[in-house]
Amino acid sequence: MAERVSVGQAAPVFELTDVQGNAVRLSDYRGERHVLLVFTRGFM
Amino acid sequence: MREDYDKFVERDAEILVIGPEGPRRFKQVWEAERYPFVGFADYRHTVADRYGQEVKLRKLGRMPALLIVDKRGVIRLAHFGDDMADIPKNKDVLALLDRLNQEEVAQ
Repeated sequence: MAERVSVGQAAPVFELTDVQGNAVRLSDYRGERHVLLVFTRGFM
Repeated sequence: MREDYDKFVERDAEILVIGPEGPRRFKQVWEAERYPFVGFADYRHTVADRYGQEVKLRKLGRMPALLIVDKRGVIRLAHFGDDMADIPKNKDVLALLDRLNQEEVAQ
């Protein structure tokens, strides 16, 4: 199993494509906004 | 979270939702539900694995997780749910964002 990240550490970087087709990187928000990352179970 | 979305935005926060479905299914649900958040189909689980989202086979899949990354890129909240309903309350998350914003003003 992947190791959980924890409070105080630098957030792992990532880039994903959103539902609109835009490439979004976590770093796009650096210095601009706090980011809530919500990992879902999936749609039931 | 949707009902309080404006409160999160007012606190300088963006909500990124990451799910395990494929892009087509994800987009279908996103558009039907008109979610205001930014949504991502992480169907290869690369980001979920990088952050340590847990998979429990006995509970039929991935457990929910919620993290707050501050403007400096540091993790300030890391909540990994034990079951489907185990997620932090909006009011507690909003209070933490208020504290982060107060820290920023004080710096």
